[in-house]
Amino acid sequence: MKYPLLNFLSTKKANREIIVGVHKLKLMIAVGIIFCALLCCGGCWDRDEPEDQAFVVATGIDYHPDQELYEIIVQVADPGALVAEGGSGETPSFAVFSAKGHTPFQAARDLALHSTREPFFAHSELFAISENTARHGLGPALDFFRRERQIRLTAVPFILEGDTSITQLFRTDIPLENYSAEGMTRQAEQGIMRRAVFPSRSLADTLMCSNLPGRDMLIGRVAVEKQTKEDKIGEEGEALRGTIKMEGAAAFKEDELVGWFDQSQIKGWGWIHEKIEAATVNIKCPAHDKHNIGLEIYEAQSDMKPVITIDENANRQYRIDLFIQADGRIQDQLCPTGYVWEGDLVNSLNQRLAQVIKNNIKDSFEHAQSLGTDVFGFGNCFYREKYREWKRIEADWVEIFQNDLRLNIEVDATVRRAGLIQEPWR
Amino acid sequence: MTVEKIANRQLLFILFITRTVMPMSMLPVLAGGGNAMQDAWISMLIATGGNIILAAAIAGLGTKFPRLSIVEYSQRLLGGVAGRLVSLLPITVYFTVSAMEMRMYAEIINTAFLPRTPLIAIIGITMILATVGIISGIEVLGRTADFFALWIAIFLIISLLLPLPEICIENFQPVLARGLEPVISSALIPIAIGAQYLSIGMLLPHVMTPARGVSTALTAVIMSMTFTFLSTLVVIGKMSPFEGSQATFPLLTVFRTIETSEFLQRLEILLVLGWGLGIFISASIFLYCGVSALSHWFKTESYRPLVLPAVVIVVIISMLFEDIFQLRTFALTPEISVPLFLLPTIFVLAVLWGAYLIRKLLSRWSD
Repeated sequence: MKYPLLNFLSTKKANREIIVGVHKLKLMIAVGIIFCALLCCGGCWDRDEPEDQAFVVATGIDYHPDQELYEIIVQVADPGALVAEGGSGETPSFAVFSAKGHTPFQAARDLALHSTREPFFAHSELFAISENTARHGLGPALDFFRRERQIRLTAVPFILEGDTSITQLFRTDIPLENYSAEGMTRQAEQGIMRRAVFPSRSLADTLMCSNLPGRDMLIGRVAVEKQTKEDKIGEEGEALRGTIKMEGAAAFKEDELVGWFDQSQIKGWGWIHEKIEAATVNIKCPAHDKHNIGLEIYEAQSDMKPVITIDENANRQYRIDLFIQADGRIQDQLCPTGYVWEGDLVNSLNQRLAQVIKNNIKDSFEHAQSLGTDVFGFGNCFYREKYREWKRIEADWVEIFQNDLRLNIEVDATVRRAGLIQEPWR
Repeated sequence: MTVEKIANRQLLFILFITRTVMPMSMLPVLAGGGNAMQDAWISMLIATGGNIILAAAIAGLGTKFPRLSIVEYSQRLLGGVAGRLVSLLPITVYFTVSAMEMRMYAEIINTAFLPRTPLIAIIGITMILATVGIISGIEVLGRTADFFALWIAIFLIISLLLPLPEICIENFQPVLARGLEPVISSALIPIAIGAQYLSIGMLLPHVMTPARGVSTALTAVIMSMTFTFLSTLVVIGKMSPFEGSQATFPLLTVFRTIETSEFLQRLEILLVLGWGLGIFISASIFLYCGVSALSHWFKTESYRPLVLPAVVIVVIISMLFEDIFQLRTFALTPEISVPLFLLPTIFVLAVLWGAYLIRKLLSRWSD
């Protein structure tokens, strides 16, 4: 066995033929298997050639109540135009298609009727939802997004405010970008990471919120800024130059849009949910109480506790104790006084920052109460930490949230540093 | 007739792969009919206890008859007819599990990747490979498990590590708020899946050191239950128990929510590759156990002539499920999986252990 070749040669001729025969058979079986495996590598029945596909970079969904039809609008990247024009020429480097159907899926499938290529949704980084659809109910759209295998749950969802059509949004040519989807993705990232004015991170986050007991959804708001005839690109106006505003959010009750949150209210929501990665805050200077000081918050943490107390009439009082801790730094100041040494001035700076955060939260909470939507998940806090009580109040939670819930906010804000200079410019 | 041998390590890897791959994909403890929701991780702990008992009972009995398969020692303990009748239950489990695992894998591939490819093509191709593996013998399957186990573990570990930074601890609250009933009900399904450990009854006679069978089996249980436990934590923590329990393949859905960077995305292929390698071992091993047990039942010299008819039967069984709803009802509801898998396993073990202990007592008295 040590020298297989010698062993093989030393065997009788008849045995050698048998051995060779067995080896040939094994070889044939191996080749057969490899051949079968190669056939499967192409993707079996699901083989799709890239040149037959239209790569969708942004998907929009609209609802037409008069026709009771859903419309799916897609922005498709045109790689040929991108290469030929460098993405900045006089012809747009994208195409926009749309189709209608009784369900979002049917509309998405019917897109192929208006395009020479099969839409491929796996590269869609954005989901634009019209205000109409959001007011009618997001349920069907969310169901489609969760069920469809091509949809990326990491894509950013947003609500397009007003009567602007998603087609117009997708046809907007944003400066510096090849197509609007690319620009909006970057802009959403800036809004989340740098300024905390845009809440939607991903479809996955939105879906998770949509299912939690005692919590309502908040999805980022987008609006197209005014465009004129001079903004037209291409002979037939296939695109319009313009800019897009991405700030604020749409607040939902169940799956229906009930109102909007502005920039500062979104920050209030962000403080509660630890979604502030960087935010700008303006305060009046403690020295004169009239000059602005620009602060940047770069770290914030929060902790919330549900509390139930019984008043003198044996009624239950529901309260959320909220503790926020935030660290910031001075980025600019119009005040001539320097905030250099530890003492009352710096302490006062900290208190003023804490008050601004408190006001943000209070404003956001009162607005949510007026809309009757618990986007903060205070109900979920009772569900998690006071489960038995939650089962008792679950059915009446919206009413309790609107009328009885009290918020006790404590903020510990600290201005940690003051940039590269200590004294202001005089 | 020479007895093919595998190392204890290979048995460990075989048991680890067979008990990890499919339960991780469907995560019955969360997405099954048990309704434990955020407490599913506690159900997994209970299920681990149940699986340890099952595996220890099956391996423990096997070590009493180190050179005999479960079919052979059933006949020795209960007599020819009764022994054969009782051993029909494990044989049924082997073929059913093999068919169900194949169908589940085909459903994953069809639902998430190749929707137009017929199930029979996916099942058929995997079964052709499994047939080659089985005909080559348990030694080849053992060596393949040896080679695949590391890769499967690497793929699954990466799959479990990537979502970790985004785990939300709040998703695990409230703990045990609805009492123990839903937790125990959810634990029943993974315990019932422990019927897979009946394969030890056919594999142990091939192991180099059968005396260490119990420790090998228990190590495999701990390894596979750790993976399934971590999968449960990741799904609940990343997606919330509500979203996780609604997913057809929860871990796959979790992976769809991960974005490592702009240019490196859709890493679920790692998970599916791990499952694919595992399903080959899993389907081959249960089919091997089935044909090998049948050959012992019929007392034939070799199991190999039975392989092709058995493959056809398994393919037919796997295609008998009309749709994924029927498959899920069959595999993931305690009302069906317990009487179908757990109770027969407990019955077989109780009868065989009972007969063994009675015989031992009788032989002591007669001494």
